[in-house]
Amino acid sequence: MNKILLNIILMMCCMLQLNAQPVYLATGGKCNFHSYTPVEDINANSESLNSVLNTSTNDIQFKVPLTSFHFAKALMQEHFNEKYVESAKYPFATFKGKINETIDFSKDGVYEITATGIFNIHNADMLHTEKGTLTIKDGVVTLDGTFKVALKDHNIEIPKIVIANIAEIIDVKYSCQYAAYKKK
Amino acid sequence: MKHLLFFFVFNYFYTTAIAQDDLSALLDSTTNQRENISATFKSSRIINMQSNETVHLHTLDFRVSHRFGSIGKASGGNRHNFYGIDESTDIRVAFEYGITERLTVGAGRHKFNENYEVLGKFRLLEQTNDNHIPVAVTIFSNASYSDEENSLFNKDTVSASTENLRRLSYTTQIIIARKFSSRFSFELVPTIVHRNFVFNTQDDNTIYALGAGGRIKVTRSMAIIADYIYNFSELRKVNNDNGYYNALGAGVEFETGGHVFSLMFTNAEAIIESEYVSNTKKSWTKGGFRFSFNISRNFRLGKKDE
Repeated sequence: MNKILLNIILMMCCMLQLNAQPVYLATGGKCNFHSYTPVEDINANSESLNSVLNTSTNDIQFKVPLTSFHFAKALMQEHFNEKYVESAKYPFATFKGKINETIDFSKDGVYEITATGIFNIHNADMLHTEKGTLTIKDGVVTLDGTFKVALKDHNIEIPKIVIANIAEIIDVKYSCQYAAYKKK
Repeated sequence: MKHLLFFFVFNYFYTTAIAQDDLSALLDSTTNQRENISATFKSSRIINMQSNETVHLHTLDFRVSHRFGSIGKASGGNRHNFYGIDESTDIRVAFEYGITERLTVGAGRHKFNENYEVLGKFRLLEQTNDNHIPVAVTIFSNASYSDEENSLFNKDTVSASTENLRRLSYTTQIIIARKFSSRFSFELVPTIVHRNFVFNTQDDNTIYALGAGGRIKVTRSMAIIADYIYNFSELRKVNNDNGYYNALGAGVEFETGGHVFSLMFTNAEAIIESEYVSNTKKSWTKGGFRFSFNISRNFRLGKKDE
């Protein structure tokens, strides 16, 4: 009987712990990608990068709608969505992982961190470990960094006719600002 | 004690799993899902018919279209004109420009009856991915002036200004389109054509028609396209057999970054709406279909980083 009671108490503790988990949320983060070849420079920007961060478990997730990327040429944007990432079928790019370092989120400072997790675009998962810079100042957490994505890792095929115009490896930059999330 | 350990382990995994799911759910709830559907069609026209697409902002669409001679023997095709390829019933060269993402203006010249054309096209509604707006609606309008030397324009010896007015024709179309999936798009196009002057005394100046067109994507860059327009005018009713037919076209469309090539067969000899809707005098069943193509080339004219 005691054991059952103990278990119930333990379960409740866990649930309480869940509710009390300090979660940080970032919306409207910036994300940019860049493809450089001698023939053409292609840039696309999104301001719809969202991210959540659990400071007690170090879990971190990112999500950006692919249709939110804006290109200088509207036709290029159409091709990006229609022919390359197929955003009607696979609307988001996501990252789900964990920060590897232990960080005291109550202390101001600049931390060089690494995160390991699964990056997904075009329905293909890739395990990434990437560096980033985490800045904590007056309770505001910002995170920014860069990483590279190889198109062939994600089955994004470039037609021969434009092969000189599109790089095989795309540089991605991101930056987002978190605020403590309170359940409504 | 074992029991306790089990629960510690279980709870550790349980919380971790729930924590990731919780985060995912939170992330999903912050992502706005409603977006406009783009690229219902690849170009501003399917075959004969306008599509709901307009030219992108500050982009110039240079369009060249050809309708060759009839292929079938009964309509004049034979090996001495290479089944119509030596002839052309209509050629259109036009420039269309996107003033905004929604508004396109353009001008063109047609071989058929020497028509000069000005056009405007405006996107009224865009389909959304959550079906809040289930269809895209675009309105198209053009006016044309026929510069053809034809004494009929001067019937009853009218003044020069009246004769000029007689040479004008207008078309208005409402294009209602839906992208049913990334592979299949379909549209309906209620059409009004008004010609200030008609040669045939039994003909109506204003005629009503209903068009339909579709596109089936086969590969990333290739699609099958077709369109048809049904004419409600008494003179052109299918059964009346007055020598007028409804325009039907079918073909394939290739898209390479910036170009759209459409290769097709149609019985319509003319390219401009006021002519192909009202003046298609060749029939598929009598070999009156021809090889045709539309080529569209997009040039970006605005500043680089807008």
